[in-house]
Amino acid sequence: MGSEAELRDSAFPSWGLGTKHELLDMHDREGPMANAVIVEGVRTPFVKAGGPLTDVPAPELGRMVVRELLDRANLDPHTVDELIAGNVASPADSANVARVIALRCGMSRASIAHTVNRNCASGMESVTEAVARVESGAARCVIALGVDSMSNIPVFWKKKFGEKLFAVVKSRNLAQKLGALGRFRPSDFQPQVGIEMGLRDPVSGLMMGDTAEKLARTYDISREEQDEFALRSHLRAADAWKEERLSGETMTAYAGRKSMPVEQDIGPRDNQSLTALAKLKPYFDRRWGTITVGNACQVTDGAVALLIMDEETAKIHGLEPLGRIRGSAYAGCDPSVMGLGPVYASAKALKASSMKLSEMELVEINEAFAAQVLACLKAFENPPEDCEAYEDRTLLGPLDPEILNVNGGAIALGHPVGATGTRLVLTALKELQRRNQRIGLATLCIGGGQGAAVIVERIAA
Amino acid sequence: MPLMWHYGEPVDGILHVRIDREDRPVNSFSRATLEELRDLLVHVRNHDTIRGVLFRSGKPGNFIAGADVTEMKDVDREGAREVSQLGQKVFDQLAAAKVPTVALISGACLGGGLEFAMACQYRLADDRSKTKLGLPEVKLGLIPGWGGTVRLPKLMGLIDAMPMILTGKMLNGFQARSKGLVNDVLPHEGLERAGVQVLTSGLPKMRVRKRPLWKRLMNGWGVLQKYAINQAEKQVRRTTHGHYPAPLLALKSFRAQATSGTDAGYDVEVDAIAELSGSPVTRELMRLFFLSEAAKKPPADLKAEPNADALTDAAVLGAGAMGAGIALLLAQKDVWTRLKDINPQMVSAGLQTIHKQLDSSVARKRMTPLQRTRTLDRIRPITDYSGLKRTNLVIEAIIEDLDIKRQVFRDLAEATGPETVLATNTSSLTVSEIAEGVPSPQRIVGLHFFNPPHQMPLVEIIRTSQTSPEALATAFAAVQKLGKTGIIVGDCAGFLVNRILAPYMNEAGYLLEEVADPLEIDRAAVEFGMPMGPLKLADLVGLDIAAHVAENMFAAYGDRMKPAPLWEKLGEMRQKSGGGKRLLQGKGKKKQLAPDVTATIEQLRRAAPSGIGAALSRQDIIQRLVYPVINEAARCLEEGIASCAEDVDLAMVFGTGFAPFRGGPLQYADTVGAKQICETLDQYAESMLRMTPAAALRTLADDEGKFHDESSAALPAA
Repeated sequence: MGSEAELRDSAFPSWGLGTKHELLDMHDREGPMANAVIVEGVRTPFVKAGGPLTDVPAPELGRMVVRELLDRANLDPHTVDELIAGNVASPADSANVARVIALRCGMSRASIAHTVNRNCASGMESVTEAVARVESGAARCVIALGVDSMSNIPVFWKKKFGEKLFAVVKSRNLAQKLGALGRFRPSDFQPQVGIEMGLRDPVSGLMMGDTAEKLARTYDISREEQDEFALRSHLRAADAWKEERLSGETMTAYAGRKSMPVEQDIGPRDNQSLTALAKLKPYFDRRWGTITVGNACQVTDGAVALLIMDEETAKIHGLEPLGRIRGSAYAGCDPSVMGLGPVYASAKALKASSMKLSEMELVEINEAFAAQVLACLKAFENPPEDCEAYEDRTLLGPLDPEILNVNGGAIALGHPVGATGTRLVLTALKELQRRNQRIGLATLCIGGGQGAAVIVERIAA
Repeated sequence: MPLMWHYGEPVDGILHVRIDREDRPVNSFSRATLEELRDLLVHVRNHDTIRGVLFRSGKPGNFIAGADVTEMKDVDREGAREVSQLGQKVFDQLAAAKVPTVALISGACLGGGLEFAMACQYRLADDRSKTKLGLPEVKLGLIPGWGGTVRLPKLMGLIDAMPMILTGKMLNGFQARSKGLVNDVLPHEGLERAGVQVLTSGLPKMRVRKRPLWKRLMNGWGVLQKYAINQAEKQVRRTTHGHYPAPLLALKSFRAQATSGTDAGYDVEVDAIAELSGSPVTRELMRLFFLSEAAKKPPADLKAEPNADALTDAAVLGAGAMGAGIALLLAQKDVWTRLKDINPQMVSAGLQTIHKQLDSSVARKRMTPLQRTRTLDRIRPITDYSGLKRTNLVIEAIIEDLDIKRQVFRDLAEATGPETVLATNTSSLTVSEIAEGVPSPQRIVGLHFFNPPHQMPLVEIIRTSQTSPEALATAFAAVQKLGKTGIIVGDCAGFLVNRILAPYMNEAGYLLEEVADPLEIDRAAVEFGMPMGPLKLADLVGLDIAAHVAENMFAAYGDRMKPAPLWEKLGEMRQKSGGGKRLLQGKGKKKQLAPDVTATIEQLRRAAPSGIGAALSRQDIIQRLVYPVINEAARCLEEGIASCAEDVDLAMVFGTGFAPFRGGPLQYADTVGAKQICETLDQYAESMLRMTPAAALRTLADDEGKFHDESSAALPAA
């Protein structure tokens, strides 16, 4: 009876077993730094929160997509040294959701995993961190994951409610109990919606939508312009599905007890129209505002995984790289105009890799709000003073809308907060491959006043 | 040097006893180990320094597996009586020990092992899945003979104890705790410390859930006890048809206890053991037990190693009931399993089947919700071939269509790794014809699971002339991993089990035309010891499928398997109406043939008046049904489809439920005698050519040999 078998029977579930994959000793390494390449990527369909993936919590979503990724690459889970997951909603039952997913997918117990949170860019953070781990030589094979189940963001009770409830439980006799019960007020019963709390920036006190309203006012972006942009997103996403441009990056998810197959993104509407969009009431500023649920991103469930290896390891496993990260940057800005994050981050990333926006063949800007993307386009041409591109106007400049979000964006597909960053990298690489082009930019704004940008480069076979 | 009970000086007043048989891989009770336990108890009595005794096993995965079966097999009646009395006495002494005793149960705690544990003052079990508690003596045709029929009802109450003893049901630690059989369940590594604590300061305070009122009443009140015993007896007779004396004797012990107190139970046990030991039923059941144990090791002539140290990755093609069932079996054994079908809807249907089964396991506490998640995590639903490169084994369970199957195997040859073993679960095609034209046919085997796969213990492993030993070894290891009995058989239509069963089913069609009371056929078969009659079986399989199988057999074996005219006719009618309707209608006394079946029989009788007439006794019916089975089995042996008579017996008992107490068809043949069977078949053959004895059977009859005789082990090749 081997000790391995003994352990297998032990009370704690042993999701993964096997020999430890030996890490490359970074000190023994000679020659240049390792080259990190993105080998494969896949995502679940993005599904509107409350839709068919409602019963699939984040760990399960992540497990599905990582298993799919491993099998698509025909890779032994024990080959993976590390899993990094971007996740914002933080499921209460999985403090470090990355580790839970890694073990449930059969990765070695000796492998490591951690969860990163840079709010909306968590999924991009997982990618840049994975690349850094490989390039430093600390790991040879890393899975970068972005996952969020916004259907499963809990509703909270007020602190006061909890305290009063505790008083009832603690009371020793009927009189005390009745007294404690009597202290409840109707307002105590009002639930605190977790998602609403998550979407408010506690520093500026603004809802995310309010920051977009501010951009719409500052950059003078009309309701009509926003609705037009939203419509464009829907039509492009719907077309992309019709022409099977997105099916290459998605898997079929089987949801819940009914195992209902979900084969496509649920969000894009090919029957979306300007008239329908125009009918929607402004959501955040009910009287004077322009932001509606129609021209803002959808609240969504989804997971995206990328397999990142050093070039040599990919070769050993007979895997052809899809592309690499040519450069990346995170940049901070005023939280009340967090929507301009892409402008700051793109300038920083381009400058660091000595490139210019005009060299980009494809650009993905996350569509948190139509107004926010449109503001970014204007700011690209006319950057704010505290942006690196203010001095060096050649860094950014005008962007051809034809190469922007060619398969639609979060307004149609949705924005599972922790997953979107990973999706942008995947979508950009797959689209570059389809178009047989080389270089693209993926960038997004981050609630709390930051931006993230990566320059992706395809490695042609 | 002690044989099984190892101990040193007491530590802080507690004697730590390690149960570890020196001469066997598992712990078991023999006369010698019982006597050694008796001496140990004397030692405890004589030493005042010992204030408690703690028993634990020194063998991982095994507490005490029961009585020593190899010793039991050779013991005579008087010997059995003595050992039973000895055991009762020793366990009584244990129960009466002046100091507290505790059994730390990890692994199999069965039969005598549980009787021993029940005689201890406390029992603590661990939470491992290997930990099983039960009294499975009935499965060997025996009953607990060391006080088990008395102590179990005392601990669990009569209502819960009866099914344990009558069916040999086993419990895991948690189930045992909720039934009151053990005091508590702990993580494995915490057992010993808890044992010491219990011996020094008693059980910690815990809330014990009371049994429901009706159970307490039934357990405690004499009149109700007797009613429960009577009901159980009815149930036993209904399911065993009086073929198995053991459960009835166990009931006798319960009854004696209910009327004249617990001591009466001990005496009944001793008498029962004496009566059962060496009885034909016990002998056959034990023989089957040994055969199934032997079948766990690969046959001696299979020298190759499996393609991997362990089956870690597999795929199942086809998410129908069979495919989903097999995928679930694999996943439960921690195998990463891909479940493929041609579209997401069909995959989804398969997943739902799996969900349902898992949910019911969780509801019955056979599985924790965590284990369910763990199992589901191992199943990856797919509609493509992704991930198959890494699999050790792929099992195909798709539609029974030769062209589609061939295409799938051609695809598989490409989609899988060079060492992946490709198995088909076909039942109506041969493996060779599927493998035809497929690259690397040496990787292809048959793995014929029986329906439903989670219940049926048998898997036929089919080798073709091209199958490599490595592929066969991999398939064999996989079947072992799934906890099934695998029998390696040759490739032919119907393989071993369905081929042998075919003449039996077919003959039922002829008999239907001939007998006056058609229900007599099923009654005769059940009386013989089959789990159900051929008519009921045909309904269960589905008439259209049965007709399809019959056509296949006819095509492969010619006239002797020509479908009976009635089957042919009904098959046509059913195929036209799209299957569905059954042969039999109604239940109990209202059971009868469906009207259109009766009409068809009348029609056939008018067209060709049968020569044999309606005066067939049950004995005649049995001979007509079972002798062709033996005949076909003899052919399988002479063709090398089965490698020995033991394989035939085991396969037929595990695959079809063929009268286990008769030891399988060939063991039965040896009991009757080849000569008599051959003569009877010859007589039949005068009017029914299909009954002509096989050459092998005739040779055996001429030599007055036996299928299982050492000297006839190698049958003369025809």
